[in-house]
Amino acid sequence: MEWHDQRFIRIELCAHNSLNKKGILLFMVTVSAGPFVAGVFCLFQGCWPVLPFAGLELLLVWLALRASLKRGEQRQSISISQDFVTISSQLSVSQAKTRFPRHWTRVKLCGSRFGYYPTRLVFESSGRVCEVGHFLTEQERRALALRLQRLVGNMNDSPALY
Amino acid sequence: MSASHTHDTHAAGHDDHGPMKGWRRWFYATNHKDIGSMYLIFSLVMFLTGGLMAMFIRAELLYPGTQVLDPGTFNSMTTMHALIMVFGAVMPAFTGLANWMIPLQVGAPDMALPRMNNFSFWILPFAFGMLLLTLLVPGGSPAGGWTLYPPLVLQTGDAFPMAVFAVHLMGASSIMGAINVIVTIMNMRAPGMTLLKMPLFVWTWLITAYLLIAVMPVLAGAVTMLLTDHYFGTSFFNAAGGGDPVMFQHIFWFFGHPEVYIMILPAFGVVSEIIPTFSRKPLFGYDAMVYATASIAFLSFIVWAHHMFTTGMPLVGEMFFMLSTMLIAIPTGVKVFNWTATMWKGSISFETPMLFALSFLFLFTIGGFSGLMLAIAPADFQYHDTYFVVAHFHYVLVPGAVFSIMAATYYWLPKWTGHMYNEKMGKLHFWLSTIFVNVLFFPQHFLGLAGMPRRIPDYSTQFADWNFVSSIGGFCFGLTQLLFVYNIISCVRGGVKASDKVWDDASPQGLEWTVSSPAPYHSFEVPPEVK
Repeated sequence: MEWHDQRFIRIELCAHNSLNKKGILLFMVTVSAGPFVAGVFCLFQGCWPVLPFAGLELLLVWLALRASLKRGEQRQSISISQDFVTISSQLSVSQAKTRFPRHWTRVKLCGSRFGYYPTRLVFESSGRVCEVGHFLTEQERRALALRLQRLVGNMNDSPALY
Repeated sequence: MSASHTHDTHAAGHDDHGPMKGWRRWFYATNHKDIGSMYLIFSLVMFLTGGLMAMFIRAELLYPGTQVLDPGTFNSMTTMHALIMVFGAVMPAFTGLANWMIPLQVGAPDMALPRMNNFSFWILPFAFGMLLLTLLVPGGSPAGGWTLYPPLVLQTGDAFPMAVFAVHLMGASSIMGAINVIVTIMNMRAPGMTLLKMPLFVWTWLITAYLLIAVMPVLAGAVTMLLTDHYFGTSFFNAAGGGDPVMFQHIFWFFGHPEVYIMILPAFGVVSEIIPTFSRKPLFGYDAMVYATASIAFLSFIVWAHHMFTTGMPLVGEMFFMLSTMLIAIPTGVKVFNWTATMWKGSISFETPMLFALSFLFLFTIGGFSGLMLAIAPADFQYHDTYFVVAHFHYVLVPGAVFSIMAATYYWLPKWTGHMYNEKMGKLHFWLSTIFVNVLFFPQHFLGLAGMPRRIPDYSTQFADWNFVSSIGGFCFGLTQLLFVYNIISCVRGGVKASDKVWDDASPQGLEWTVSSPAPYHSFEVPPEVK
């Protein structure tokens, strides 16, 4: 989400998420019913190894869902004014606000030597570093990096906001 | 601050970037389109591999007597053909279609868990590499049939643990694929894309993913018990140790019957996309289609023992499984009726995807009817383990599942590649496939009714004529598929430019037609608003 004002541009970051808490509960109950009933049925027939496999699988389902949901709960707001870049983060356990002088700030997309690690998008200024958008998908983060590089410019550079 | 203007930014469309170059693009792939393509290519390779094995089987059965394979190798071929076609060709093909189309159809930028997506694909080549390597180990590859019934399967040589491990890997891959599909559909739909607005293909895949999650642990448990019976002295299925070999059959089919629906429900989804497009009408009875799919999925859990009427079970049990199996005909009938009603008074055109969808409709229904015959317990005592069963499930899986995959490929290929395929060659492929699939499998009904058992390399001369016809049909059907491969390769390499809607005069519905052709590497970075 982006707000344009006479004085600054604000970019709100959040991941895609369409499931609410009630939906999560309903989803987990329905998805667990089949493997659980099958596992217990097999257990009573003496074929107990089915149940641990069902448990492992449901654990995997829950971990996958939780990872997706946690990503969706996180929010970051980037305000870019003529003089400052302000980043407000509402992550899963913490809240933080960081402010950088725009003229002395640069945006960097740090790739890994190994292609399979996610990139990291950071603001850097005077030895301080702040990461943004780690919960976005890789392509969203790359697109955001290009957008921010245009808005913030390089070190010792303040491109026009509009 | 005044909120004078709002729009999504992190997704502004001009900041596109391409994929990585070379092998890294594929090995490290997290993009749903890349992974979808890899699944589809993998499944095509497996289809050709499993198909080659089928050619050997039909070559052996061309005449009575042993021709090209010794009996052990023949049994290996039937077992490997089934495992490869089920787990290597059909299931990955549908997972590939899901990877390509689900994010595009629900308006998501990618699958929910892209790294797991990569992992679930890359498990597959190792799993099937290991399975194929069993052909080279002492004792040969598994030859007890894809059902892996003990005690027969425990006679497998060194290949046994390899096959069990391969099955575990295939199961893990399927589970991860299913989790990804569920989380993507549940959590990444575009604003306004409510459940009952989702395309039928997405719905059928959601239900399929539930089925996969429900039954895959059962398969994993079953093959693990086989392994411990073989190597660790347990007696789950060993009667001498107090176990019960028939129990394996119950467990296997508790997995195996829903597995059949895992392979056919996405096919229903594909056909439900194609028929409305080329009939130029909305799908008749959308809600009924969703509920029918869910009903079929539910019923698939309570019919497993119809595969084992001949093992002996109480009359009440036989009645229950017979009637519950027949019940499946009701939601399936709803579907067939709705597809037919969609075409009723429609302005139908017969492009290749529609031809395959229509062929699916007729021939799958034949498979369904022979299934009803097999559901009748007293009749099943006659048909069981004969070629009638082989004809039945091949009608369901080849003109059913495989034809729907071909229909889907022709339907969406221009969207994937940006080029139209060769329509004339597509139609030729359709007609030859449809003719020869019937030449191949229809005579097998007669062979089965006459009493020819399945899984035998040699047979009585009374079965010679229809086996000869069936084998000729098999060879021609196999050769015809080379047209399909050639058409795909030509389309990928170039051709007439496809428009964004591809089927312009048919006005196809769905978000996938709102993006350009070929679909951009990153689509829906701005979530679309669904009205």
